Amino acid sequence: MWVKALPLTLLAIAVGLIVCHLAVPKTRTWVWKVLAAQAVLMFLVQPYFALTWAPREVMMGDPYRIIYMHVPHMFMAFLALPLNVILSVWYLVVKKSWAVDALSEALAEVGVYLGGVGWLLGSIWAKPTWGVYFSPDPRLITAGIMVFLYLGYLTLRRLIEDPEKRATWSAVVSILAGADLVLTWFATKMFRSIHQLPSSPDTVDAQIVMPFRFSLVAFLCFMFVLVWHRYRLALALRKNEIAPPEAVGQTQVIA
Amino acid sequence: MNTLLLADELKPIFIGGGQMQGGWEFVWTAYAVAWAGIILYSLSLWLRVRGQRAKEGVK
Repeated sequence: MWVKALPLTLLAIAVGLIVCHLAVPKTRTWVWKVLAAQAVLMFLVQPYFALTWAPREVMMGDPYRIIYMHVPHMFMAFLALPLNVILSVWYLVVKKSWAVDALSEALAEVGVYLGGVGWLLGSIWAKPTWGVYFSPDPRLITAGIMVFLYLGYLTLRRLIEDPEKRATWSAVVSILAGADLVLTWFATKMFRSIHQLPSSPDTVDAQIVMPFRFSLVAFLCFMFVLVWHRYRLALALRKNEIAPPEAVGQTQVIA
Repeated sequence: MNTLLLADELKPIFIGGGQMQGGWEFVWTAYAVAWAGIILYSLSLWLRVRGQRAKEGVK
């Protein structure tokens, strides 16, 4: 019973805190600290569940345990990068806001970090299971392109000095890169792929599923804290670019 | 006898009884890479935020 209840309870706490943070501005000075503490505690406990408590997989033995790091990294990248695309559309179509632009930048950077590391972890997992670190497989190729496209997005943002042009052009690049996100997500179903199809919790042992869900919640808390700080940083830099501090007073990064 | 010895030598390292054997070195490597990423990215972000705050004179 607790096997199912633990990750769901922790998820409820995390989602509650995130909603509180978004809905009640006054709480923004401390909610991220609670989420950071939750992430750190869960990261410390995660190896126990993933490396000792979870049983060996019937065919892959122990190397399957990489799933508890590889998949949460990729899932969080697939949360951050599509949100970046949505915000880019929002910026171009609905409202040209610096906050939206700053949040897009934050999501792209955190998404590239998580996607890049997740991709690397996938290649480490590939060696014992497929016999090679990399195979010219549609999922691996599209995921690699995804990481490099968003690296290009971040590079573009560094190259353009005018903040308005930067926001507009990078939003366009983000939307174009969004096509690769769709291809990457559906690659295992659309093409002949060596990469395994997504598993269903109904067909996997509960003792294997629990550490996976636990890891996902830990990475959700972690990602939220990263995005929040990266967003504040991007917004402060943007405001300084538009109106230097000496002209309008100081822009503060909330700690 | 010779054929059996040859078959034993050709047996892939990780296969035994239908389940992969060993492979913990890949798990440790993956955890090391993931933890290095978590620590380094967090540190990089913290330093950048701290730098920005120092630049703006925020205590």
